[in-house]
Amino acid sequence: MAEKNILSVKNLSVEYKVGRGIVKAVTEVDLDIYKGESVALIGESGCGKTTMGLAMMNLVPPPGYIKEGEILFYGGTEPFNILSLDKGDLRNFRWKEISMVFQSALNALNPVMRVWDHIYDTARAHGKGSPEETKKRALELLELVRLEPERVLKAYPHELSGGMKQRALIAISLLLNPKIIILDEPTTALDILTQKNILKVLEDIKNKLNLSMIFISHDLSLAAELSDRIAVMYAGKIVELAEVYDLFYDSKHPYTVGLIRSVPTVTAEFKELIPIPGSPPDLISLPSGCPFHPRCEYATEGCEEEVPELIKVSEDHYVSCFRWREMKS
Amino acid sequence: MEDIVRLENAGMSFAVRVGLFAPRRFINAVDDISLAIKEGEILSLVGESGCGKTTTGKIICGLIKPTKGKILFHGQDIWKMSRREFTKYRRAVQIIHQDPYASLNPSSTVYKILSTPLLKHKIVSNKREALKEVERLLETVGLTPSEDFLHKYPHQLSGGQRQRVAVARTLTVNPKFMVADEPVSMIDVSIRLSILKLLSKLKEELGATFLFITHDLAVARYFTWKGRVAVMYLGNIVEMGSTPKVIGEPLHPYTKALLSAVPEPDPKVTRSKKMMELRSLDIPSLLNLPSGCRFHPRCPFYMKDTCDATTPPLTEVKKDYYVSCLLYGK
Repeated sequence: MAEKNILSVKNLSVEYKVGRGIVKAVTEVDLDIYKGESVALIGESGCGKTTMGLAMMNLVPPPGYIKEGEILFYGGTEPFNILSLDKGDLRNFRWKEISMVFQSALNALNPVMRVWDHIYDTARAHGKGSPEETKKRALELLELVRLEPERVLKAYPHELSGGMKQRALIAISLLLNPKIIILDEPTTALDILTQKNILKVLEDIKNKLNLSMIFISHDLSLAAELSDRIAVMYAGKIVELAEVYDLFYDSKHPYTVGLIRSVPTVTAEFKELIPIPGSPPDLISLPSGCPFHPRCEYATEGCEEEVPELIKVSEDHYVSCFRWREMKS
Repeated sequence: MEDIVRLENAGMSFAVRVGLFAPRRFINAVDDISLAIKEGEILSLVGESGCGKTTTGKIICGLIKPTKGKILFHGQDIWKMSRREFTKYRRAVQIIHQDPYASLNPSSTVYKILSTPLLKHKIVSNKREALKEVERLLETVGLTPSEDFLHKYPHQLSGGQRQRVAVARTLTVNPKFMVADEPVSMIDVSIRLSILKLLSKLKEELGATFLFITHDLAVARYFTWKGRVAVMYLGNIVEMGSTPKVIGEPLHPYTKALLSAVPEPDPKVTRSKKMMELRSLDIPSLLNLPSGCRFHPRCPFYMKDTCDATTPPLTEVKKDYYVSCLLYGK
């Protein structure tokens, strides 16, 4: 299995200490990321998906901390645990091995720096190449993300539209040839036509460069379009993990079924949609047993008492539900 | 049915300064919109950010005065009404805002938020009646048991619950016309549908007229299936007709492009979808609008010396179906 993996998250728990108590953002999560694949982490706000992404770069901001678990990276000669790297190694590791395009990317660029300054700063901080080499690489990457390289390189952020900024950031994230790129809500806050364009760019990157991509999103459509596998998160846990077609056409978790059933579309035959009752739980005081049971139409008494484990139901399909056998989608 | 609201060539321009010492310039957020909404109807206004859909909503609510054109409520120009008539109009038209985190006063309890308009407009005569009415409203919007919510502050509620309180607040004055500006875009995916269902239910029960503003074509299709959709681009309506027609067989190239670009929550469908190629991906700046048809620099059906010279009017190409494109009509 290890040759296939580029990253393994093992038994990861992340918490935030706040005034009201302890927020259990991620609880005992296991997840393998394969080489060259794209995985989508899907869930609602506050389900722990962004925290997962940050933990993969050991970037969880205070008052958050990693309570337990390890994240093994297989990209080097020897596998190592990202969470036990010291400061210097970590600085080297980030961006070079795993890079991230953050949410609200539109504010992620420094307004008084040109795109070129951002790129050159990044390269220099990692002691990579001469200005000429960096420039050559930058031009290639900007071309790849379908921007006019020469013009954009000289532009200040305010001269670029939202979609262009997002693409420039994607180019910067690829600068050091990372093995994994994490994209947090890459298309949120963009217009439909711009969104589609970003999706095409990401598809190009996926086809042309040999890297693994992790999408973090609340949008099922994005996952349907781009990912090879999908992990559905709910209340800090992965509740279902499967290949994209299995997840959509053979869902086994009531939450996944409910989510897919409740999203309106523009082409499918018009029908009444069925909402999921209730609202997501407070991560400070989680319900007992399965965290989804208060909203679940399949819940029985056992669901209130015991937490279901993520079990394998078929090749590459994992579900944490006691009643997955009854699920039809 | 009678028109409840009518816009006649309404337009709104805002003054902006591009630089610190630059002269003031005007942008037409809404260029020229004529639109009639019938009583009991349900209409979606869709478009990308900056197309003027929210400004149109605000004009209809009387929150801003259009810089040109008229807005008529039951045939009467609202900006020429007497004070009393205007207050009546204000009560009849209510808006649900996009952001339930910003639209509720953080220092008031739910009871305070809902009872203030009841007492102010003398819909109830005393506090005891107000309490009863607030409880009834909370139940109507699905916040039960109501006593659990009465004394809560907005920060103690989730996004979906806040939006329900915002909906309850509009109901306090028994509106005839509701404008919902992106009511679900800030709400979690699993809660969105229940809010939409609540709005549909209220529409049925109150028989109110509904203007639904959204950027999400799928949500517009779902919510206004029995009504109409108007698609806006750079301050103008470019296509308007019954929802199944506009979303199912669009005529305007812009609507076609939008629909071809919407990703779908179904891997087979979304991966086989082909996006219409546009000539340019950049939305023109409102400060520097293209001549003729505003979509011509991007439109794949662009006809040289025609589209950049003539502004296509919104014309009725078939019964109750309007398009502004030179490919159609005549």
